[in-house]
Amino acid sequence: MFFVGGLSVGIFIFSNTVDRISDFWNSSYMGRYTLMDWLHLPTGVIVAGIVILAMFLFWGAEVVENAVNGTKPDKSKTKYKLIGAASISVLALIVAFIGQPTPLERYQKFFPDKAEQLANREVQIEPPELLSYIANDHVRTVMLDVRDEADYNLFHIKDAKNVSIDELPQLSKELMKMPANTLFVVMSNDEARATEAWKILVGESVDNVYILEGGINNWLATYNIVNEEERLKGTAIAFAPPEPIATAATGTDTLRYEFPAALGDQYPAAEPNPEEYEFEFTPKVKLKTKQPAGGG
Amino acid sequence: MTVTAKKKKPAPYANPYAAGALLGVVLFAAFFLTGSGLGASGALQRYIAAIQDFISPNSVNQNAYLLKYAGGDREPLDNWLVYMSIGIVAGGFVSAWIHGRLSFTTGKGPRISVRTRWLMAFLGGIIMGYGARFARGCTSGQGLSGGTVLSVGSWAFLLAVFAGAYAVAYFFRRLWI
Amino acid sequence: MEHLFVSFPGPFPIQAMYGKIGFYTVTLLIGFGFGYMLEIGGFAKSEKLAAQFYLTDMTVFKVMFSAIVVAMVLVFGAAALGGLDYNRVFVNETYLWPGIVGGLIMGVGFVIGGY
Repeated sequence: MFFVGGLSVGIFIFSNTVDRISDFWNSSYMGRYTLMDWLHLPTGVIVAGIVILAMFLFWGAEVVENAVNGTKPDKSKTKYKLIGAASISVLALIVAFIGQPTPLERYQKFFPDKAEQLANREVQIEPPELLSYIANDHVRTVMLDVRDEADYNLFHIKDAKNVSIDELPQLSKELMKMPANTLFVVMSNDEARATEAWKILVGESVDNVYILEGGINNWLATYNIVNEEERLKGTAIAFAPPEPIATAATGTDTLRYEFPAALGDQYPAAEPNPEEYEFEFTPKVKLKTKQPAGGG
Repeated sequence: MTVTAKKKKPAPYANPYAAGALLGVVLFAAFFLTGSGLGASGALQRYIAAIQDFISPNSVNQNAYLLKYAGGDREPLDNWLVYMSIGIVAGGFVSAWIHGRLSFTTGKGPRISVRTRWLMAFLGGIIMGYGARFARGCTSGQGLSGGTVLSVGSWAFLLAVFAGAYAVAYFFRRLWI
Repeated sequence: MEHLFVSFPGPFPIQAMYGKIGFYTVTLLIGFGFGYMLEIGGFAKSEKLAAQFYLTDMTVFKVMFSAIVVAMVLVFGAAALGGLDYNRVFVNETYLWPGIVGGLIMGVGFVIGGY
């Protein structure tokens, strides 16, 4: 009771003085950083390693106890201890042997309902819906452009981030830390590569991930409108609108527009003015909130 | 919490490995059901924040740290950790009762008075409470839960707790032996 | 939202499924189990805890480490079999040096206070 009183006082003191040490208190932040990330070893190997280490330490602890107390080892329970040690070690080795599921395995195992949504096209959002969220201050929109760097440099939606599919498992840890009202939209030229990326992110348990329907090609088809005013102002050369390439077939995930220069997000279509467009779309985004987590 | 044994015939404590294994199952259940581990000091933090918010709301509103817990329309006690702490106290109480270990005694070494022990418990409590919040969690929240899910920080924390305790144990031996 | 109800594996969005009362009830029961197990392990007795640091009784170490080992094998075993989604499990974020300093302070308090 005195102890709890002391604890309370300690917590009280900390609460009211923490701002003086906040620089140190917030230093060396590494986020969700596990032994697997640190040692670059598979999870199962670490689990088995810790179990075996524990068995040695338990044995050592008993040796020390007996040495300090001058007692003889109590052999009466040795049988049970060995059984316990053997069973937990075997379990740990089984865990190491099975291994942890990859993102795609996780996608198939954990999220059967997501595959259904994908097939029903419930996760492919139309360009106007994306634009409405870009313009929406209450929702943070993170756009992940998974095309090759060359295509990305030619043209990309403003604020979209270029990432390769291989980077996604690592990146997903960052994405999961973002606030609950964050919307993730993956995009490629059409949908094929974006769908692969979507499966990985869903498999990594990132919530609120959607695919840009029809990809960048569809975006350009929607927003690549020649602005007469700019053309007259003489900026039309720099911002010459990309032209559709007649030969590129649809659905091959290649860019079907030709760009005069690799101007990235400098084209008007990279940043359409939301006020100039009507938002006509079938709403599909359903933002999911998070359950509070943490410990003490 | 200073409620311990020594009357009549208290049942012996369970084998530490068995108790640990059962505790491990509870810990797993916590992760499996709620996605978070166990925690105790977080709840105490919330009680403190609630009391401070009641007595002096202004001091809470000027404190960035406490504002995470209380202040404004935030209700510090509306949190799962608070309910877990109620469960912990109840569980410990019921177990002590069932096993006949429920009585008021002060656990201490033979060389100090009860009063010294109380004072030391209070002092140690202050240090531990401060340390626990400094480390963002107590032995259960940071150590047990974080250790289970293999957080690097939690393992460093666990080593530090034992290192800190062993480093000074010699100087305080009079309290216990 | 309707998909939340069929979401297996764990951890479960209990708050979304059964509301706050359900969530708090579950955590209360878990806390009860936690307190009970600590007590049967002898964690309510400060001499027993302090004995850890005089090497006469290693109960603290044995209970804590076997709890970690068992829970760890169960958590990652369940994750390997597809019963638990480790990415949704809360992992204490690492603030390395504040954690170590806080741990050292706690260790000192442990020896003085006895819990």
